Amino acid sequence: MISSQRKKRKEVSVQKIDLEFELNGVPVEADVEPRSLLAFFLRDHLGVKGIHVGCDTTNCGACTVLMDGKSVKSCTVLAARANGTKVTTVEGISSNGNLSALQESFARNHALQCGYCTPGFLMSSLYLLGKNPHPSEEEIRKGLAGNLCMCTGYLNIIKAVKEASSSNFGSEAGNRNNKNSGGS
Amino acid sequence: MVEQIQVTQEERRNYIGTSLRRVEDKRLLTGNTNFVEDLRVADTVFVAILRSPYAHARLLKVDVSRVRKMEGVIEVATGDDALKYSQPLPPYAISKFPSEEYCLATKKVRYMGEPVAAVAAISPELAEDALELIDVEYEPLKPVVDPESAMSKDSPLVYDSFGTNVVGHNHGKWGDVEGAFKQADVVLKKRVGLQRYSSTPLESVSVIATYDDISGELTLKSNAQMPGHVMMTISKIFGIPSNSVHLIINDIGGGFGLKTRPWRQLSIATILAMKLPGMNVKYLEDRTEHLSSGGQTAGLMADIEVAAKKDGKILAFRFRDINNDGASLTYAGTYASMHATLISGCYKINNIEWDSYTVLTNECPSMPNRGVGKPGIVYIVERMIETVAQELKMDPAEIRFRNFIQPDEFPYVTPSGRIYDSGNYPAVLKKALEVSGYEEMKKERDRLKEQGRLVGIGITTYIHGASATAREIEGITINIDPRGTASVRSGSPDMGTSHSTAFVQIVSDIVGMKPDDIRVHPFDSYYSPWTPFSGTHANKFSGPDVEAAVMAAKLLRQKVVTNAAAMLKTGPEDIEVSESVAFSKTNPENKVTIQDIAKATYQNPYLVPGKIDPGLEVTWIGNNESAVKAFDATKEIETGATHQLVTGSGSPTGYMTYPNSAHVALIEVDRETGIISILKYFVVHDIGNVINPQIVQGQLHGGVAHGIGVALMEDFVYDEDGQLIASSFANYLKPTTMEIPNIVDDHVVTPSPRSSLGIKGIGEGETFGPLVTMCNAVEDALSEYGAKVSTLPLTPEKIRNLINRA
Repeated sequence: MISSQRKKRKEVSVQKIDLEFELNGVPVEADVEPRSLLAFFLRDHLGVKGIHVGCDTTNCGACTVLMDGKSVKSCTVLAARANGTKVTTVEGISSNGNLSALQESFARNHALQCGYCTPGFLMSSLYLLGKNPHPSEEEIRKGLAGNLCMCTGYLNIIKAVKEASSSNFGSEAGNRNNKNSGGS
Repeated sequence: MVEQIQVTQEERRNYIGTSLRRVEDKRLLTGNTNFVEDLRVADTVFVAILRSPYAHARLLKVDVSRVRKMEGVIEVATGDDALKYSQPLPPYAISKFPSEEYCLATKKVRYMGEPVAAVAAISPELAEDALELIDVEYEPLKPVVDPESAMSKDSPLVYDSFGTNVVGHNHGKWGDVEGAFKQADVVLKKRVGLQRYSSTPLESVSVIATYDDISGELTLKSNAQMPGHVMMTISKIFGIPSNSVHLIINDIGGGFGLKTRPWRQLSIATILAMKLPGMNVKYLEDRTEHLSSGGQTAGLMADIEVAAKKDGKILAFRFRDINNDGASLTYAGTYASMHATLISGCYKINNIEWDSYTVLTNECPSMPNRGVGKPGIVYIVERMIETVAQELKMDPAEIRFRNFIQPDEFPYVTPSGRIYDSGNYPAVLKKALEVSGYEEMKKERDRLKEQGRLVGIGITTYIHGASATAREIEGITINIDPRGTASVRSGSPDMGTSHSTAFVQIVSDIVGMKPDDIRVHPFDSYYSPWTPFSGTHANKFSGPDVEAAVMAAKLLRQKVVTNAAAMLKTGPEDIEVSESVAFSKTNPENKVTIQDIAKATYQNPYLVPGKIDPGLEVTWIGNNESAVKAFDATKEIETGATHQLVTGSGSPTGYMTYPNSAHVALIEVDRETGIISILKYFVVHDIGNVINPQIVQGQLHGGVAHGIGVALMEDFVYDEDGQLIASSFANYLKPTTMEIPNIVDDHVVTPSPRSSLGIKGIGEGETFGPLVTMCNAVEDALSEYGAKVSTLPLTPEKIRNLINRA
């Protein structure tokens, strides 16, 4: 039965464009449909699990990644835009299974429940801490206002970022595009 | 009455009651997750669903001939396939009318977003494109969106054959209502309403369905939160034996009730899978689909009349409520029925009349959402108390103290026949006033008001109703394998609710193992025990799930002790087990690891001298004796319950535990913009003993945050044509880091006598408080205008209108 269904799976010819970029420190070459969005390209074609699509309208931030060090919501960035850039996802912020200081702080402070939004919050927090290594509570609140979490009520996330920032976080955040930027 | 196995040994408590770090976190923090969208498998086709743009229309034609020819399209399904492959979607609570609703529309569409046809294609993008090639002819009909209009005789009918849109009616009358009203010093009337809203799990519903037409097995990898209901319902809808439904639930990105009954989504994927045997049919519901058709709360409108004495004592109340359950029977009636569950709140009010209507409209079907109808009844009772306090110019705390059920009155039987387990309501409010510095706060408010600022205090005290009903039994298997590591399998999936960590704490303490030696596995219907109730809902974890875990762990400990005693040549009464080592109490050097016990009992069971119990595995399905006794007592006397389960008849809904809370807030209203700022927020609750304080606090924060969202911004607005205006997070607004204030929490502990750990539920309850607290605080802040609030959300526009009208 499976083989007969497979016959129906004719390849569909669509125009594609070439793409070269660095994903978590590893060079990637791929071809991509011009209309492909970065979130879906990373998730469906490259198998990146640390990107979730919670809204499609740039409201929830679960798809946040860093592109050349800046946080972007990858559900509203064309994959083609990644050409020539360095893209960092949550997979790129810990090394050999060791959590970074920020991830440790999230765990210690119970800053996640279902975990679906967590990669996005981590990436937004990294961007914030890179710009401002010692943010006030108000600055953290503003910096994370583009990410939605339905479980935690945010307070433990704010606390986790604050705590990570006071543990000499600046050097780690400044290093965020490095694959081995995990601080622990 | 279930015969209970007596297990007597006392275990140590090293982990229960501590904030053990979550065992779930490392995977979730590193992106190493198994949400359905994360799963990539070969031979996958992707589903897109064509949905009705109309709220109400006759479906004249669904022509799929053009789409079938499109390159990349593999299969198509329409209402004709639904009729061929499936049964109508089963109602949960209402049995009076036959269900006519299929997972894909037949004959009529009844709400904007109702599925009409589905396409399976080789990529999600092509599936989406293909929808444009489906030719549908509709004959638009006049929709009905206002539930009160829906009740009138000349209203358009959502289901023509029903002859009415009023599908449910409850009436209850307790005590001497008329007599009490005659004795009243004041009689007040109040109309209150709750909008339709949703906790909107950030991950929508998703599924990969696979059908093997040779073996007849249907595999569903889904994020459903109630595997028990899925197993009962999907097997029934498709006529597949339940032992051939292979349901696998990995990570769930939040549930809150919205993933308890994903019948449409699972059924559509299943139909396509049955048409494409061997293929993996993947459907990821998008946000707009979820908001418009994934389920919302039932809307509520209630007219209340209350009788009170001058001293603030409430003598009686009567209310009529109308519940808008949208365009489906699937969950209709349940919101209304929950009103009976907490009908008098935490107050001793014996004279009550309740008249309740469940109405269908051309809006999104209702679905459970964090407490179902409990926030509604809390809102009704608490807004009523507040109205009386305002009329009598009485302190809102004082009126509550005067009406509380007293600590020596438990177990307390409510007029509607629910039996509260335990509590100390005055102590909870007293502590809330202390923690919040209430007396000082009042002075601060008055001082700021004198400066011309609109500052107000809101207070509320209420009951939750938690730990599910005792009948909703759960199953658990705990196994120590031949190498000495333990596995836990249950029917209760973790959806961010930290079940794995809590199970590890319980098993660690009771069996006597290191947490690192225990792993909790995801639900898999081929290997996990399940019951019709299996799932994560109604704060059930703290009830049946924990009871099953405790009992299974005690029985497993008994096996460990028996075998250890044989190996150590001593009596079982001399054995202690801790941190994966069993030892003699009288001679602690005489010890054996659980690893060695496992080795001996599995590999050489009959070489060990003495009595040995081979195999270290226990499955337990059931509840504890005191919970079952309480349930038996409740079921004899309660009224208002209409739950049908999925196949059975009406069943009682008396909860296993009844936690309670007091919320206190200080807010400021911006006179010019109408924007509300929450300056301070306090929660004191009594949820009995606690398994993990940090996790409980997380649930409390999340609950309050959701309640604040509902109170201030969330609203599924429909226009008069039944078009959903709020169909994305750009216009269905959720609170962010900018809106949620810091929350101070504290606890009063009255252990539940029905729980073997003395716990009560957490999760749903704290969402209810802000709904009332914000209204009360706004009325206090706007007291100079005499403004009265009747509905939520308290948007800046609504606040400005209140000020302008004054």
